Amino acid sequence: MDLAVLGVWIAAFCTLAVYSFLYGDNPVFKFAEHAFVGLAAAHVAVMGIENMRNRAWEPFVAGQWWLLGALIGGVMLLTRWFPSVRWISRIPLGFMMGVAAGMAARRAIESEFWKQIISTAGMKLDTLDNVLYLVIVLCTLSYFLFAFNDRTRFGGAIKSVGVVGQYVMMIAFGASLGATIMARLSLVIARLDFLFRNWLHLLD
Amino acid sequence: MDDFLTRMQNIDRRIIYTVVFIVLAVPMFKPMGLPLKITRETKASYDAIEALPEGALVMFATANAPGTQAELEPQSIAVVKHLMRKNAKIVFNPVAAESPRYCDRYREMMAAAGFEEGVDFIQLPYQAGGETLYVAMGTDLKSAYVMIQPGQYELWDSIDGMQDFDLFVDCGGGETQRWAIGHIEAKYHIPHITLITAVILAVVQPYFTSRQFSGIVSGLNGAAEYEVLAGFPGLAASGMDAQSLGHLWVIFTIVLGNVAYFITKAGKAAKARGGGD
Repeated sequence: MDLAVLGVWIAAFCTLAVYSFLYGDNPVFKFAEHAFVGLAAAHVAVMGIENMRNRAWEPFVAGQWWLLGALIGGVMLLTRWFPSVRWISRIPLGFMMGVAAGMAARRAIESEFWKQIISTAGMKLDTLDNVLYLVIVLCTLSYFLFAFNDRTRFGGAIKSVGVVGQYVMMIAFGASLGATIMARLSLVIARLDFLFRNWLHLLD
Repeated sequence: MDDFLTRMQNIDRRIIYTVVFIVLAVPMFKPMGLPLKITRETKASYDAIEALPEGALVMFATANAPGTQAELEPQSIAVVKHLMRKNAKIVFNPVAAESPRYCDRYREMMAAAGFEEGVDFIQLPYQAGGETLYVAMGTDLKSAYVMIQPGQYELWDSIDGMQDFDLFVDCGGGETQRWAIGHIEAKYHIPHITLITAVILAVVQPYFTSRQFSGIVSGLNGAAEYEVLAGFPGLAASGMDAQSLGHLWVIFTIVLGNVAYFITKAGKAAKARGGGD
């Protein structure tokens, strides 16, 4: 049998095995689930090893001695498996978390926080969309203002606007749920298309 | 009546899934040609590519994976075909461990259309690192890919850094969009379009409003819109009838369950009031 055809049959079997869960949990589903997790882990492991070879080991052997620090850091991470020296793994882990926090802070302040404020504040109110956008932003922000006394006139007004923000957020969460359903249906459509087109040859 | 309403709130999931299967499968064999509205985000993406000069340099970074391919693959194929029509020179950049095989497919598409590997397109090796990779690309692209030797690819030799690119296409269903605008768009102000799963549209849409993204293609519907705009009808366009009918079924079950619930609840309340009198 041609390998490509065999691949299609295996993929079709795995697709049906996974969807068999809709009827009820069963051994065929379990087999497909475990096979998928194992394959995914193996794929990522191979890619990771290739990465270490390309990015660290080979350049190090070629003379980039400063990569020794990265290689040692990688080995230190593996000490997690040995309880007596597990503490060593916290050193590279702390370094990685520090780098991640630094990068995220820089990115968030400039491109997510500052630019969003400038964009919203400088928005031209020439379309209904833009007017709604600004109103919704203000209402939503009002919901998170807790510093005002509700019994004062100003505090009461802020709270009332915040209630509108609460409903707007609920609409947004509903839209996100709708998008999630749409995404899941897309997955099913793609699998059905595969089964009908590539496996059963019922579609052109 | 009460019995019927109770049953409507407890429909066996196997019945629901069987109907889902039917409403999704039937339109695949009998397309209905339901109307498709082009969103401004998709149109903006199309316009951004249409505005590129002939032979423009494009980086196509993808974090596509089996879990997202149903949505991202039709989008990617439509966009790559559009870029091919513009004779763009493309640097494919797989940024997730599962992504290289998708780039292989795009390379095969370009090679089959007569484009020359190394001159018109190349594929960078996958590198781990996530956000650190985007920082490295934004800082010094050539240093981030030291494993590519000078003379290996003519196209790569002609590139000095991210500033040379005319367009950055970022495809993924997760964090890569934020990394790209934070470390590349913010620094080089390259036109930037993003191909995403529908789930994260609400997260990335503010960046389109702030013009940090030139365009967004979202979900299977975004792919279908792009296919229609670019004139490459494909899987996404043919799947939209199924998508629409599937939504109708979901809406129907939600409405049915809620109507039955509120009628039952009102009936119980009326009985309780009657019992109290």
